[in-house]
Amino acid sequence: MENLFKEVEVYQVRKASELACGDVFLSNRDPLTDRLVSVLSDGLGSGVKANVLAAMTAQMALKFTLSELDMERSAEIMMNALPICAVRKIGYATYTIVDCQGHRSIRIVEQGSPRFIYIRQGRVIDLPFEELGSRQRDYRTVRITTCVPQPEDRIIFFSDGITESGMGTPNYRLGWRHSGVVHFVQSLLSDDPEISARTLVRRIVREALNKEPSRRAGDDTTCAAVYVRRPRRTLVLSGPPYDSSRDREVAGLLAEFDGRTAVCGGTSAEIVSRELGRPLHTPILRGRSTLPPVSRMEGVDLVTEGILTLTEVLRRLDHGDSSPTANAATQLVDLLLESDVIELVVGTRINDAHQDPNLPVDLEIRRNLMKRIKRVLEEKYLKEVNIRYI
Amino acid sequence: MDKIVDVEICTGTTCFVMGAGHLMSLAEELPERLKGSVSIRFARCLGVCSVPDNGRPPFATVNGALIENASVENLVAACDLLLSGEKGMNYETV
Repeated sequence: MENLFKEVEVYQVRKASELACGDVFLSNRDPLTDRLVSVLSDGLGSGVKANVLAAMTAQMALKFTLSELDMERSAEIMMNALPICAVRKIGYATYTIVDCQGHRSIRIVEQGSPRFIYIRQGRVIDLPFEELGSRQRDYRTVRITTCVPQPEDRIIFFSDGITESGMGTPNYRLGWRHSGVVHFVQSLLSDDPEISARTLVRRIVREALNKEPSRRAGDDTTCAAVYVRRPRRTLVLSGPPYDSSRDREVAGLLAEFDGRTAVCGGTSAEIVSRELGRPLHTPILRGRSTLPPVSRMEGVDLVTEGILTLTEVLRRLDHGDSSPTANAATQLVDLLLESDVIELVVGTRINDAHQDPNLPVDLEIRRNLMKRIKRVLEEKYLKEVNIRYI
Repeated sequence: MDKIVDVEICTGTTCFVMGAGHLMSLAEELPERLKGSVSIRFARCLGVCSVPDNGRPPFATVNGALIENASVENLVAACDLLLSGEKGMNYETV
């Protein structure tokens, strides 16, 4: 069977009056076994207490699931271990576990959270599930759903902040509800059948906030999605080769690449333009910008300046900065985060002009910068990144 | 037909940090007399900064002639010079 990639993304907004989010999302990807486990837990109440409860639950769920213990058994142990609130007589935290074991099977375990949405061939489908009761003889049950994934399947799961958004307002007395979310997801998919998990979760959370008075979240609102797909590959070429006799080879790598491509660097762009005989256009920017503008070249998705743009890309990836200013760096961040497998081809020739002590800023060495970008993409965004120096 | 002067501004890293960022808005800062007579383009990189003899970045070209240490003022002056001289002024092109 072909190698499928699982894109996992989460987006959350905490309750407007709180400083901490009471929903906690954790994910673990094991590249060796191709196993991905994602957990979303919603702690009782809101604020710091809910955050601690949800963090404990999510961590426990993740560890149990990753251990070799049978999933049904671990779900049972966990449910029995989690206490119920003495006052409210309800569980301390709800959770959803999505366990993708390679491309062979997906198991989804839910306790108390809104039912997940499963998309196949662009449509919401119902999957059969098994229900286990609690040994503490309370109302709690665990639902276990198992299925064999197909390419382009999606699993969307969320906290009740999504389904209950807008509750009590004239248009949504009972909240957005599960059916409202399903309807919205279906319309998003019909508009863009290839919508990434990243865009999908953001659109859902934003739509939930639109239901709230003044768009202020009335509860912690979290949406996560797993998208099983053929890997989206991106090649980023930055820097001229150490030996200019390899210019043609580098341009050829780009021309023959099966996926999206970006060139980051003025000299590199000139090399590609010359070797492939494709003209380079740099459209006029309106007003001043903190970064040099993007350029256009036929067959290349993005052409930017090098070091300044890459430094800003690293800063944004590191800090999760999502400010709306659109520039070369935000476009490159979007391209990288919408990709699953990223090939970095780094030219190692040093530009002597960058070493001029009169420059008003320190220009990072390209090789180090790309190494750090690789690390953050792997560790924080769970991307598969390969780097080669040329 | 009116003469058109072609200005190309380098947006490479070195030129950008040395001040080409301020030249991005050249089109808006052109005096009225030059508007309509100057065509502005950006270059990804003119590739001249690595040769010290070329002078100081930022670099631009005016009708193909290299201008070092480019600023709004000296680019406007170069355009004025080219447009005013009936007989024209011969810059050596790079």
